[in-house]
Amino acid sequence: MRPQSSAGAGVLLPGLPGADAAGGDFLGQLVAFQARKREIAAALGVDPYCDNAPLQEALDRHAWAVQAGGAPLPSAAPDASATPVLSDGGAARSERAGEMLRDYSAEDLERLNRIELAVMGVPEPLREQFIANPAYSPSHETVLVEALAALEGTEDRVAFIEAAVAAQSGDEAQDYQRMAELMRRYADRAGGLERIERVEGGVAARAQDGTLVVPVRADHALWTQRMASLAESVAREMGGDRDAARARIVFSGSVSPMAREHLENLGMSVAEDAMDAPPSEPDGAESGASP
Amino acid sequence: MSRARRLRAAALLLLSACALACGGGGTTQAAPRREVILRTEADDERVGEQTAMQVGGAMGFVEDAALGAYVDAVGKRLARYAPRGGFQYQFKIVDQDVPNAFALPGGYIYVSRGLLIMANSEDDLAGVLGHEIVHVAARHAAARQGVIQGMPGIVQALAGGTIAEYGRDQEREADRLGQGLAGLAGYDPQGLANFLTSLEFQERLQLGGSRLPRFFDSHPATAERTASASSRARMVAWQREPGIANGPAGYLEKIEGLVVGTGASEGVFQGSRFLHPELDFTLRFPPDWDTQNTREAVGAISPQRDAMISLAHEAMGQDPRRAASDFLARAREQGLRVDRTQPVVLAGMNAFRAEGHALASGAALPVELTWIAHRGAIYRITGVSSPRAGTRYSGAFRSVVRSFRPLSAEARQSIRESRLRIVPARAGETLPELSERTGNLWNVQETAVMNGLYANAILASGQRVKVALPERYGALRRSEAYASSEH
Repeated sequence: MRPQSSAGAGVLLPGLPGADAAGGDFLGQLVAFQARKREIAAALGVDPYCDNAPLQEALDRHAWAVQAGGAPLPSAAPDASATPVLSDGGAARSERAGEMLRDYSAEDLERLNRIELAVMGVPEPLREQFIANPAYSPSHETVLVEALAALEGTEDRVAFIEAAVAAQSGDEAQDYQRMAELMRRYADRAGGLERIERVEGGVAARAQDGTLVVPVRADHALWTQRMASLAESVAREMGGDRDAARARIVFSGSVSPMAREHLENLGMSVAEDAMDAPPSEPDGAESGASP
Repeated sequence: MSRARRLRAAALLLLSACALACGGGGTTQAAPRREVILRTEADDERVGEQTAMQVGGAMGFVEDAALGAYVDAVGKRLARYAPRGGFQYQFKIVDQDVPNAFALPGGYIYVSRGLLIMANSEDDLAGVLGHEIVHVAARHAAARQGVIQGMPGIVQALAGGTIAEYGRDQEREADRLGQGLAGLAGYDPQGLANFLTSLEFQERLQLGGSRLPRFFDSHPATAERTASASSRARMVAWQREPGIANGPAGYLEKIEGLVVGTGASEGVFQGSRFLHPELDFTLRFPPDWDTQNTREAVGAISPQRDAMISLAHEAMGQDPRRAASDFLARAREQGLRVDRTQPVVLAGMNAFRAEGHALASGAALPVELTWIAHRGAIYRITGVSSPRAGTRYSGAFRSVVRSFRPLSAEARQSIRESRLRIVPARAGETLPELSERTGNLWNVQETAVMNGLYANAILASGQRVKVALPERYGALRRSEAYASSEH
């Protein structure tokens, strides 16, 4: 069972305004309540399906009040002091994905994602396995699928789902979500991606100029054992002729000087804060050998 | 401006003058437009239901329960996989000869008779229906305008294509997800691409003529959509499920017998003579006048565009005097000055006649009105001319009125309409040869487009080919007898 699969379903419904003792228009009330909750989450820029319990309670309370007619819908994003409750990615999510999370119920999102995955060529067993993976909330799943769907023309998007289906926790699911977003961002700015490839421990993309684009979700990347392993995998993908084969490590956040130095010594270029890069930069703050 | 548009403009000018003066008649002033806001799914359902009730009146439905049930079943099979499962999707066939499809908010989806004829398989149909389902499920109508105009405007738009089109991204999304829906439902996603290809060729054939409306008159251009849909179809993951019809041949069986082009059930012209087989009357318009037959009225406009005459159904009943009295009471309030009235008998039918002037924009337009009782209905024939023409057309108007009479058996027998028939080809036959043999009314290019073939195709023995054949009005919709065409 997916704990986050239904926004607002966990609240006490008997107290819901308009519901009578016999249940009344119970389903209608439930649907309306969930819609209010999604609208509030969208207005606040937070994930309606996140597993942050205090945030879920706050959303439930506010949705209840709006549904009862006692409170207006919020009209602006919260101030910076509220950000700790936000799981990362809320602000960077594509506009379309945000609209989808606001406008569609969890069940509808699942149907939409199923269609999009079919269009990408994801075969039914893998498709259903991915959709049923409890590590993915409807938000993770939708943002990830929407980002991949935007890569129409990129070959082998199935490879991404083959990797992403292995996620075993919400954190890993978020890694894949962010990797898909980074790829989409890179494609938007660099004019597309040729294909998606599996690399040891994850996925990468091949740009049209042959550059291997490796997306990494990290608020601040340090030179750790895990990072070193990733760098070795990428280096193997690049092969011996590092002058000819280029790789670009695209980080969602910043990179420590040591990590940067090691990566650049291996012939890789590094892009930081790729989700926030201005349009003039292809994929984030530049460093190392440019693609 | 095309001849048809000039004609329509002139007709509208005279009609509006007549409507002003003859208020309460068949033509009324447009109601003030009402803003309809689609905020929620409930709004979609409410507006869709209200508008859907007007679609039948504005466009008419194909009266074939079996075919209607078939299209509905295909649509519902697709809708099972669509978001917004709360919408009660309904799929109907509008009686429109051009290939067209459109969706109303809330799940009311329509395909035209012409579209069914152009499609070559259930896959093709599923591609189009999938596209329309996505427009509904993604609430593109709400996203498109936020505010859409009032219902009469919507219906007008559906019939004539004046409403804002879906955006480019919405069309692309509907194509992409529509193909995905088709694949999930077990249909070949190539169906949409095949249909768009036929459409693209049809558009080329019609270059310079009137554009095809709605589903097709869209951006991106059909050629671009066709290429994208075709390339995408190769990527979609899908597995064939048995269709509701039994393969392409089964689909053709379902649509065989549909009327091709304009049907005769709402009347036909034979030269200047109009024959209505269902309402059982005929009348003759002046020979050089431009004629028009719509769902509301049949009429003609003088070559100088300074007079028009039209016939419309006024009411049910037997008493033309009473119908005239009711009408004139309303019309007088709106500026009709009645100079003379008198009962008359026309070809044994009771009738009532009024002459007068309609005041419009400061001018007095001569008007002659005749009510005729026929087969339990009252028809009104209205002749209007410009002030400058004066009574010059009075003789022409009276001649038209006097020509009104029941259809003779011979006249009824003479009414023809084209129907779709499926004929088996002979080995090595070409399309021109097959057309010659069967009496096909479509030219070679049209036949090729309608069948998804090249014009120089060499046909295989038994290959089923769609043709349009002239048939007596009232012939069997299904033509079991047509097997003889093979010989």
